[in-house]
Amino acid sequence: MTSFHNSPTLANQKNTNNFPKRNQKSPPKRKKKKFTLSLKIVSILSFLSFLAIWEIITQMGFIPPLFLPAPSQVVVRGYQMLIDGELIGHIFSSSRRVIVGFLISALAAVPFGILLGSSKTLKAIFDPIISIIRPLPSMAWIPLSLLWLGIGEEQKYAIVFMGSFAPALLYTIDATRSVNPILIKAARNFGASNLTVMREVILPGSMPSIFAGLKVVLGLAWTTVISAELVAANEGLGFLIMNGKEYFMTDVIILGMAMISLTVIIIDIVLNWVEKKIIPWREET
Amino acid sequence: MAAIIEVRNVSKSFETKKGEVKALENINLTVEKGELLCIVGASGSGKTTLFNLIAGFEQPTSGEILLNNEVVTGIHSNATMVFQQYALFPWKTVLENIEFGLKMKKISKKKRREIADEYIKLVSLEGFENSYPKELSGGMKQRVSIARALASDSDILLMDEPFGALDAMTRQIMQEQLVKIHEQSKKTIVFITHSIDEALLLSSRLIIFTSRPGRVKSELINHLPKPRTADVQISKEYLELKSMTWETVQQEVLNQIES
Repeated sequence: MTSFHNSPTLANQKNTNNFPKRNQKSPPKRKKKKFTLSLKIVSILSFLSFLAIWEIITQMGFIPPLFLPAPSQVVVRGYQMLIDGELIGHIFSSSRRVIVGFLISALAAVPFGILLGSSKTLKAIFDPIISIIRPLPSMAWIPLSLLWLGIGEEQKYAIVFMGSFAPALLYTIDATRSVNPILIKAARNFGASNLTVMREVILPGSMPSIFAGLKVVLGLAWTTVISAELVAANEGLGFLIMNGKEYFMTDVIILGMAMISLTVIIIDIVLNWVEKKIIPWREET
Repeated sequence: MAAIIEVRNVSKSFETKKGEVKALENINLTVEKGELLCIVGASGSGKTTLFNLIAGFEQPTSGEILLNNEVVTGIHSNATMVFQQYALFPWKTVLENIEFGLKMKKISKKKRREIADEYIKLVSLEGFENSYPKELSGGMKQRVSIARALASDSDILLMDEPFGALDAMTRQIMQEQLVKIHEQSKKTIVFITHSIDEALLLSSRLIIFTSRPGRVKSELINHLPKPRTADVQISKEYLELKSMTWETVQQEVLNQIES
């Protein structure tokens, strides 16, 4: 075995190979980076001008502040509520509901989904139930959950769970099935057993799609929790918006909406970062 | 030389919506130990099906296949496949990919590493041990896949148009490397291609398949001198062999297009 590695022909051929090396790629990449940076500046400027136009229109009195407050008014309101701690409280309670409900459903749906994705029999058993639950919008569960659990935290967790379980399950089943069959074939060809194929191929191979699916589900979880808070709650961002409406405080409504948006954006950034850390091998598609 | 693969009267049909399709018909074929046999045929001539049968992924409808005088009855790890699409595990590094076959054989971590390092040298991928497949070019990926197959140390390599997705220049370098690897490793290689040039460059013998259903149409001993450099490729012998092969294949390609 070792004898042919030292052969002169092999050493010779090593020098003549002109396989592309990485350093050849870097110059165009740098150019691209510069270009994307200037695009980012364009985006920031566009956002700032949007706020400026909005500010000018409202300040000049074209639109009454009760109908649409100026951005500066929203910022002032936000600052006040930040100082007295109220804003953080609302953000925190909505986020907690989303995270707890989402994690419970992910922890249940992912293993179950992998199981269903890899066993046709199990899939056949559970298919009818899943197909009945799947089309139900999460909001349809609100009345029943209120009757069962009241308006406390359990009801919020339950509603988020109901809203995210079915989609998380379906995404996982799909992800498990979408693993490239040629990789399974290659593994079997090297003598991998069913269990090994599961551990070495299907689990890691379905990770990117599962993760992508869970990101979508997390967005759904936010929709669900805000809906639930709009209907019945005494804290949370949904409650804040509804409360603003009750007292004709449009600045509070806009503030609440902005906070929902901001929170979701931050969570998305964090998730993208986590994804890069745990799936460094991910191929661009 | 002893026969390492024997294909005896093998036929294979598939049930499809349009009815039964015959992929292979009455194939008889012997591969000698250490040989580099090329199978040439138009697309749809059942060459890939033959590999699936040899590797045990499918069973012949009739006839039998023997590896080292034992009948193939199911999936086994004695004939390693090399795919056109590389089939590298994207979540494993180059090193981990090459170690995969050894891991399946329950070889210790340390020993695995040693063997993998040898093959990394063999395919000149030093410095890329910890890269993921997505960071490699097509030619590099295919070299990893060949190294993975060689490292697992089965006696037989089944290569299914392995260079089909590579550009012409990379392809040529890979062909030269494969010839060297074959000479040094003494593995038995069965190589599917639809490029006559590729078959003439690589093989010691080539077999031409008919179009659907696949049958062995003719067999040709390739005694062109080695190494098969550019000079050999413009020699009279080479061109004669090429035109002879093309004449045989041509009719099959036409049949395939017309059907």
